[in-house]
Amino acid sequence: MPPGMGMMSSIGTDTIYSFVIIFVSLMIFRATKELYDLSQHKGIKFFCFAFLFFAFAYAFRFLTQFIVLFLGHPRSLGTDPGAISSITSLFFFMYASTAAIFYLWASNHWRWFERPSATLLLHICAFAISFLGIVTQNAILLGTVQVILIATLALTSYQKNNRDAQKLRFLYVLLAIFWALNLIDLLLPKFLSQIQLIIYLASISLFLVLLQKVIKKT
Amino acid sequence: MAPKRDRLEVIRDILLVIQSHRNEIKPTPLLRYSNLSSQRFAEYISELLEKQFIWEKVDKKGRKFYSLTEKGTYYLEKYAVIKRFINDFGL
Repeated sequence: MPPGMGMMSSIGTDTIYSFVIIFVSLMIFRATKELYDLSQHKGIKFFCFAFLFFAFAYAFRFLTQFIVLFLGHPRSLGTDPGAISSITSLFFFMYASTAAIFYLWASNHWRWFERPSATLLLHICAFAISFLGIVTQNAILLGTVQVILIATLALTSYQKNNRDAQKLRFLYVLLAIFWALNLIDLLLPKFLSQIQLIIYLASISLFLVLLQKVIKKT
Repeated sequence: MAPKRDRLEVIRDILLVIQSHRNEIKPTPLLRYSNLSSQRFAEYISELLEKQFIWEKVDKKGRKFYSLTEKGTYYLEKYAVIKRFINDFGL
């Protein structure tokens, strides 16, 4: 395949992937926002905002991929406009997707986050993880942080006895795993290039399953 | 002893009381049917007025009545959906 064709195919795949996730996330946000407006329930608020952050995250992901494809992957925190724009966009993707995972987790433990300062803490953690990922670009360090977060999410997600909720929490853990893979895929493009399509298809499937469940319940 | 009602149940109960009284009830019987302390009742009523679930009307003799708005009726229609969503998603 000519090099130009490969690049176009990659742009096409990334565009479809990002826009499907953005569309699905916004549909979930819209469906749950109405329930939140009526009930003012904190759990619904966190759930609803998680998908708004996912939509933001994938918009920045698309932007990052687009910049990287045309300007190349930044090797360091350079001062040229290409490096600055791709690093900034990558940072916002990491921040929004990490915040989304935190919000999803917080939706199940909303009583812990009744104070606005507790919500602020989630954003500070998301900011710190993103900053760490950008500054170090160290896969082992980032991987360790992600494993700790996913383990915390998994362990604290199985405290209630509701069976339906437990099945959904399994989906949340899977979403967190794919969040980690998406971050690694963006930070270290060659690391997961062999299974990139599988990651894309699995991520889309997870979002579609969640959308189907939300539509069915609303 | 009946389990303690959560916020959403209390709101539903207040709205149902208003609805079952031909959508017009004075504050005193509403307080009695709501099974709330007067302080908690006042908090809920101001929240419901603020969220435009109910509206307050005053007749020629200066008596106050509460009635459901369209949004309040919609909340009652959606209540089961909200509760099922909270339960099924473990929120």
